[in-house]
Amino acid sequence: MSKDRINQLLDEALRSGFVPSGASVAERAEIEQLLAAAERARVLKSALDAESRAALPTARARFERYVAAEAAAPAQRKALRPPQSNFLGRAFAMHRRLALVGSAAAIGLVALVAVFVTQSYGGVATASAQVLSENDYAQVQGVITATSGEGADRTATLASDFGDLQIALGDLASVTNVDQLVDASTLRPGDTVTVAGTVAKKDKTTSIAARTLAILKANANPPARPKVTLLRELHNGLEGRITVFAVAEDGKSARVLVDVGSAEQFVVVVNAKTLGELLNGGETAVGRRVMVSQESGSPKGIFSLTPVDAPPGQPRPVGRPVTNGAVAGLVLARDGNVLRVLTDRGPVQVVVTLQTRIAIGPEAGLTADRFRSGNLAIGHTVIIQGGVGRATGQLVADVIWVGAKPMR
Amino acid sequence: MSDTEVEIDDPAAFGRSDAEALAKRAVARDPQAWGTIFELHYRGVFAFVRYRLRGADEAEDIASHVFEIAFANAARFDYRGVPIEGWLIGIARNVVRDHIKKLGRRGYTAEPDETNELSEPDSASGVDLHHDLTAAMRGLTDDQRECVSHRFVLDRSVAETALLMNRSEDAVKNLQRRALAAMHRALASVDYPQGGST
Repeated sequence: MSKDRINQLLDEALRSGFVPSGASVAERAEIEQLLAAAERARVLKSALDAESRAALPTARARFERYVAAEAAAPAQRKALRPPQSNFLGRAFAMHRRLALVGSAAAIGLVALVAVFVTQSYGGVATASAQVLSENDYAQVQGVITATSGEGADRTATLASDFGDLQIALGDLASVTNVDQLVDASTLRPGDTVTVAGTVAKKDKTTSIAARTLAILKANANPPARPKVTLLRELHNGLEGRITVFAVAEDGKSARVLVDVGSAEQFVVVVNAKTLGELLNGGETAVGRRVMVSQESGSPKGIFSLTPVDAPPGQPRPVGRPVTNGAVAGLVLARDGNVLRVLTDRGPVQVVVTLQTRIAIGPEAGLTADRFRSGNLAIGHTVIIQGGVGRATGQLVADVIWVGAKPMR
Repeated sequence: MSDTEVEIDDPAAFGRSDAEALAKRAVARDPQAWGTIFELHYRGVFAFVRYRLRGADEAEDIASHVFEIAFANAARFDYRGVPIEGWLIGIARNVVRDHIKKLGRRGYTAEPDETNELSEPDSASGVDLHHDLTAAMRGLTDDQRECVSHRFVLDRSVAETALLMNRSEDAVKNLQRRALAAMHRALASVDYPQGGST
């Protein structure tokens, strides 16, 4: 009995439901066994149909909400292009093994470059690279030096402490002035602003797809560019004002830039607990005055921040209110990619997208993946910052910090 | 015929020109086109992931996630006679693989969740048959399982299965024979009524 012969007989039998008359006794016995297995496999069809029908309404609603949320965030989508394969990987793409070698070589090359960069660290370009990474959620303060475009294509140039950034003011960006929503066209060169959104990098240009932009004051001069240093060892009494706050794409790390005066700023990598505290309170982390400390047992280079008062004679430093996209509360329910969160203002629906950064607090007791999938989010405390989609009116989360379930 | 008027329960009713026009609209992220794609292919994607995962709830979640990834990456879909379902199945394959890896890293397995195994009441022998069939499906290789899903759960022809699996028809016939033989061996120790009992 050849395999081709059995395949042919089985094919005919599956189409007709009968073993072909030309089959030998041995062939007939084998085909009958295979037909019986096929008949049993078809039993799965009714169960699958029932499960698929039961799942469809929820899945359809989830997908429709996802499409609506994505349609409401075109600027964000532009900023979140999928990562491209690296140059060496592409160059060797004809052969998978060589591509792997290429990738390893690229990693080695990056590591080698990193050694040289860290040795000469302090330049504007390298400072920018250290402070902001692709797809970070970031809050940055600076002075507008130019605006261009109209409507959803409006952009602005922001002079920050570590170089110029391009700001995309798409459909999802909400602009406030003294806590009042205003049109983006009112933005003028010389305005000091705090912008929050997603970081994109192309060539040597760093840009932010803005979710919120708060105008703080007018007629300011662009900031001088201080020396920027990555903090590796704790300096006693190190305190200053936060000028940049960034959460990595995977939600596992966060950085702030702390202006300590004397023309020097430090990039400080903070722990998960501090990240939750910086997101909490409905105000931006940028603008707060903090002291840097290190908890015992904390890994080297990971720090905590404690709020401190301003020096005598200066106003209490605080962040700007996030007027249109910050909530904190308890997850009551999950319907597809929408969380229902009980806040002190009542229940709020929050859309979670693939781009939402999930930061897990130290006492949450679950992982980001488990938070995203299933109903494990229910019962956990959360702190959320994002933006309200104009098309849907729903809060689309940029960052979710997940805390513990409250004690009963 | 517009996309919204198509017999959405029957992907086969969708002609090549319809499919090409739909694919072009999908690349442009037309929400209506994606609604049609969802209705046409959700069952197929659900079937693909169902017997690789622990239960229907997990399959629902992963299948939904597949469509979200597809929509987010719509611009990368290159329609050159490749059915959009083939692209969706490719995404599903990667998502399931990643999901199972993550489960493994956390100390979980992709074994069936007994409480989640059945979605409908059944007779005792039917329950056993479903259970053993699901176990038998898990004993197949990924390719064999995909082949059985297409051929016997979704009632696809050898030619359709070959197109979706990017294999020759002869390769599909080989896979089908080996898969059925493996299922027969797995189920041989139990005597079920022919045709199941659902």
